[in-house]
Amino acid sequence: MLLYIDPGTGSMLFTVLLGLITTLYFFAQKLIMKLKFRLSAGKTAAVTSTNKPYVIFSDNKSYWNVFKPICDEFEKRKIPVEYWTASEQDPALKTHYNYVKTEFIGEGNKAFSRLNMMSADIVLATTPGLDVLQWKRSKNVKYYVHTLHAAGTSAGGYRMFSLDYYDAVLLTGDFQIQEIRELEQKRSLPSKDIAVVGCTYMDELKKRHDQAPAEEHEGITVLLAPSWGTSSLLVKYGSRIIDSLLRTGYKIIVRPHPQSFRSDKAVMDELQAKYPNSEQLTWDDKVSNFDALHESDIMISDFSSVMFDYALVFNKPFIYAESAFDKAPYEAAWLDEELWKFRVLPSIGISLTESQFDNMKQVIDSTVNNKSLEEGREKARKEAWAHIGESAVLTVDYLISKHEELENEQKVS
Amino acid sequence: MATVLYNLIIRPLYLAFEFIFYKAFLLTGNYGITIICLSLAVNFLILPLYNRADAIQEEEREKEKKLSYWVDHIKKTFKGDERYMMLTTYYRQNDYKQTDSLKSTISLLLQIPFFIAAYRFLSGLQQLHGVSFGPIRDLGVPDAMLSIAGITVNILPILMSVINILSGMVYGRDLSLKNKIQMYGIALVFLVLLYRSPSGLVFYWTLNNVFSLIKNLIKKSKYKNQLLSGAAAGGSILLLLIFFVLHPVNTLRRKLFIVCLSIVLMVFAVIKQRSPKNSLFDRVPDKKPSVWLYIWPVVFLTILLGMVIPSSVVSSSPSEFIDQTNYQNPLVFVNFTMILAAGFFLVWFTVFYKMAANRGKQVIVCLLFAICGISIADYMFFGKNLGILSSELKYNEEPIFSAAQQLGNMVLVIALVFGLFFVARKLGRKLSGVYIAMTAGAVVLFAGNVRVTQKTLGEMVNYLKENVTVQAEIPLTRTSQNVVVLMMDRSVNAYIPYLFQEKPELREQFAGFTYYPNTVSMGTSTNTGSTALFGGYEYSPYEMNLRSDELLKDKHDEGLKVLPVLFSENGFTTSVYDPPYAGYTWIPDLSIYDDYPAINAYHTIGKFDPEIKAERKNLLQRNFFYFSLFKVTPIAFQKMIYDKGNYNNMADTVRDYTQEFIDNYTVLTNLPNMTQISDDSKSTFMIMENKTMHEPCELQLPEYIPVAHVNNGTYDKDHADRFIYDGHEMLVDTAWRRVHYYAAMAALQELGKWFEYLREHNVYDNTRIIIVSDHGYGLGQFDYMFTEEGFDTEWFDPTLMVKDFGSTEFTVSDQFMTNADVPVLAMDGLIENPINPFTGKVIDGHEKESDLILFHSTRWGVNDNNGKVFKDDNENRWFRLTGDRTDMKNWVLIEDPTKQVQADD
Repeated sequence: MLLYIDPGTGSMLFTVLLGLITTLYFFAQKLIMKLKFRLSAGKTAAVTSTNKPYVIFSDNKSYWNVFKPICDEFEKRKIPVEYWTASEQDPALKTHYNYVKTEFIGEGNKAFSRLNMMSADIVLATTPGLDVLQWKRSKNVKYYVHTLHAAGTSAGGYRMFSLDYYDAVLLTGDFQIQEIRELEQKRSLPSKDIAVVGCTYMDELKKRHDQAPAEEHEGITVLLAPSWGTSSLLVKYGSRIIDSLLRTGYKIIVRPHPQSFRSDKAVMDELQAKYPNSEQLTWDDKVSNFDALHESDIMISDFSSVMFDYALVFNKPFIYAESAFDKAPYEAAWLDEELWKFRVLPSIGISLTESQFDNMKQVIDSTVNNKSLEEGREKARKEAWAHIGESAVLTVDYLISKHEELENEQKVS
Repeated sequence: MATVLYNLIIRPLYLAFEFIFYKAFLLTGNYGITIICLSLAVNFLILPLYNRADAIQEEEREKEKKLSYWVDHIKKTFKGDERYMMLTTYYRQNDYKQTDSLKSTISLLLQIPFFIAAYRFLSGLQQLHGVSFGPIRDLGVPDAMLSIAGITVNILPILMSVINILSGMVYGRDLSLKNKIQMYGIALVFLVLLYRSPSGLVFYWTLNNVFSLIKNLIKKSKYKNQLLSGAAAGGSILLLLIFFVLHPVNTLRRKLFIVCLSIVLMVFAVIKQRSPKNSLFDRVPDKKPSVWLYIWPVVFLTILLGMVIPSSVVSSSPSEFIDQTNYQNPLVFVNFTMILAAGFFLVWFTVFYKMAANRGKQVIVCLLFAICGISIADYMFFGKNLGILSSELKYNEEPIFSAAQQLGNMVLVIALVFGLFFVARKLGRKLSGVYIAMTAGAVVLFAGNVRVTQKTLGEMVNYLKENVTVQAEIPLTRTSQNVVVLMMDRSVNAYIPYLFQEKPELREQFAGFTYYPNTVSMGTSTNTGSTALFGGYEYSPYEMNLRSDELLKDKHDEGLKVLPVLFSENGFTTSVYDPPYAGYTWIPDLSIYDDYPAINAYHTIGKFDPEIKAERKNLLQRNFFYFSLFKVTPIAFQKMIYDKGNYNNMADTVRDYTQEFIDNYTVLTNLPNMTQISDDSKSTFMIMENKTMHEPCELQLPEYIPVAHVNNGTYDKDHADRFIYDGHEMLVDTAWRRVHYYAAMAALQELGKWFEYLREHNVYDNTRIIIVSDHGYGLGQFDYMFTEEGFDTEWFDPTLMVKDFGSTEFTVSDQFMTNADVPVLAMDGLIENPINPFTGKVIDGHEKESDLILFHSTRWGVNDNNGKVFKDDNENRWFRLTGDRTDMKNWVLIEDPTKQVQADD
């Protein structure tokens, strides 16, 4: 006897089948993802059972400026900590410490597979998307702490769900608290531990700025420091903007985003050929942007994080090109209010439009002399950059007290 | 695999449909109304299921709606892997699983098995053919109600679809376009697919749609409770009106059922009118019970009904459940029943449980405990002595329960329902312990049954498998001599004159035979009576007990070999057919003749009816579950389940004959086919057992042949005079007494036909034929056979008829004979001074000249009465017979004469 399915049932089955197929498709996707992950992850290290109180993870060498002050603080306090990096060029690997053990754990998925099985009491990272993207929470890690890597950005500037599965977030300023709480509430997530500790890399930047000899020069030096890609200033306006700047007679430093030399190579080559280095104009391609920021009096940019560094650390005015911001993929899409950085932008910088290219000199002059911008910077600094100069100490304090808390909890249970 | 799935998921529903339909038809006597009842019953049964499914679907839709904004946003914004990861995160944050999308199809999914079951049941229902109902001319074919220009149009499917769409419009007012399209799409699909179906099925489906329409109307109505209340009250009155005025039901039981149903509806109507909520139900805690409290009882019930009960039936006589034409371990029936029980309890109970809300789950858990308790009580303590159960799961007499039993059972059941319900409420999770003990007990019982079955089958299994294809032959020679011994198990000698009186033609066919009415058997069952028949007086129970250091089995096998070995060694072509209890197994173990390659041994019983066997197997598979149900049901409902052994089967499976009868009877009808006549100079000897008389059943009169539906009307009454012979009346007042006579007639007629065949082929005169039985049967049919102590010597009344070479007249001899005379009668004149090859003693029947010691025992089972001597118990009787058997004074009850010998050992 065969299972009898009459045609009537067949049609109903079809409807059900559709549901099943959707589900299957979803599972297949999951499987493929897992497979991809497995294949690229290579051999996964066995779960390390040795108990590590603190592990710092950095997914990119550029965050060394965020973590270096923290490592230094651990070293100073003679507390052992492990620093894992997914970047072979991470300067940390070449830094000598007694209490900080640095290790390159592989790139991309290889790093994540190691992280997903790691064991530690506390993990500190500035990587977004824990337990959302490839990096999953390890069962053997008790506590995940996120630290912000820029003062101007906040939770809202991250991509969707970026901080949701961290246990704690270390913030640079009070204004960021509200955003995190709003997201938690909208998603019915447990509230995270929040501590405002300041911004380690800005503290460092400020220290260096304070120590550097005061820059003395005549006239005004303008720094043109755009981002990269089709909507960046240099690609979009090219010689038009450079010509308008040259017409001001001021000294010009052009510092394209390092990525521009790869992504927008044709435009760069053309511009560099057309405007070779001269008395008035220099191309800056140093690894560190410190000198350029330090030497200039005003900056023109479309790149937000550097604008905030410039305003808050170097306390100088800037002109920003307004670029349309599509908030759809970001946490901003979930928030009721506009992001802080957009709210605050008009009070610390002057917006540049194409029509102003013809009287650039006037725009620059009025910006440099604009007193209200200075007040705006003061206010923004207060909101976004707390505990100036203390962030590394506060961060390490937080981690230590949290670790004690965890140990006590364990004893109780 | 597909079959297993079918039996697991669809079959339980099919059986439920069938049960409702069957009972409803008994009540209404009208197939159209029965279909209405079926639709109502099924819909009400699954109403809670659908309500929950609707609620879940609604929840699911709400949720999807709630999530849709961000889902769309994420799908629009992200690509590739990131999109997947963002979606999963979003779903995770909202407790939504991707599989949840299946939930919205849950009610549809539920419909499928119900539809398949209904479809299979109704579209294949023979009874609907040619039956009209209202405007429907024939429920068995498409309605073809409208005919326009030569094109016939089926109205019912169209009506069905219209109602379906209406119902959808009511239900789907607030649904999304997608859902609406799906709904109307399905309505259309049903129209196309059911358009050419039998109108009975379409009518059923139409009713379902009407039900759904009314349900949806009530659901969406503001006056829900009032409507429900009104409908219930109306239904209650309608029921009474229909079944007491318009179409009065006849039996008290049915009247009671209608009244109860009517009262339940009325009570419901009142409750719905008064308070919108059921306060009793509100007292049940609204929390989910431990899932184990659900799992344990359904597992237990599956084991009890699916494994323990069927295995206990099989183990009681495993070989009766073996199909000799297609060997299979009889435990296959247990497999099947287990799957069916799992379908009922593990699948469908679980569906209902899963769909129930927390309070419903609490109630179910408590009820299940009560059901388990009642099942155990009913199975273990009630319905024990209901008679002999055939391998078709029918009792030889309709089970009767005394009023005291019924009352006791009812009180116990009610006490258990309340008691166990509250115990379950009180104990809560601790019940698991009780369940584990119960389940473990059931498993042990089951294992015991399996062990007994396997042990009983023993080595026979391989043997049976090999012998499945061997077909028996009866070699007879025309040029030399043939000796035929037919052992007709349980054939009562005293029937012969009555049989010949009723069918005078038998006298012609049996011409040459001498009938010995004054014959006695050595024992009263096959184990005590057949050995001497095969081996002579040395193998009477008395003599066998004297050899008390040997196993009965060995002595019996030895006895079975005496005649075949002697004839074979004297140059006769020798054949043995179904030597009774050879190897002390139900299906004879022919290997006892392995040391004598010249002896041909065969199985014949059950080899000539493969179709009936296959039919029976299908039926048995179904009925085993019903039987289990019957055993665990409170007595008050047992008759309803047992249904005179038909087990509520709509298919025409009632067979008035039994499998066992057919197994044996067909051997007799096939005797001419088996017979191989030659001109071989070698003489032949054959000895055959046949149990046609041992397995009597109702037969069609006056032909005395097995038919599916016997209809004898008043034949027996009108021809009562045939049971009086020579002034002696033979009692045939009970079916059991009557059918023994029927079976004897059926057997003699077939033997008579074979003798005619032998005459036609010139092998009758040169053939000596002995018709003999191993014992009589204590049916108490002849008053002259009772001893002064009230013992019925019909037990010791074996048939003996002998036809010698060249004999032509039918004669009767009053000479005192015993069935242990068979060896002497068979060898007479053919083998000079025969000596038992095993004991060295002369076989001349001299033992008859002194007193005979006879043994009566009801312990006929070789499974347990298989020691070195026949077991002694209260029912055993030893007799000393001095002189012939007809004088009751000659029967003297004595103490066990072999006791001393046994004690000496």
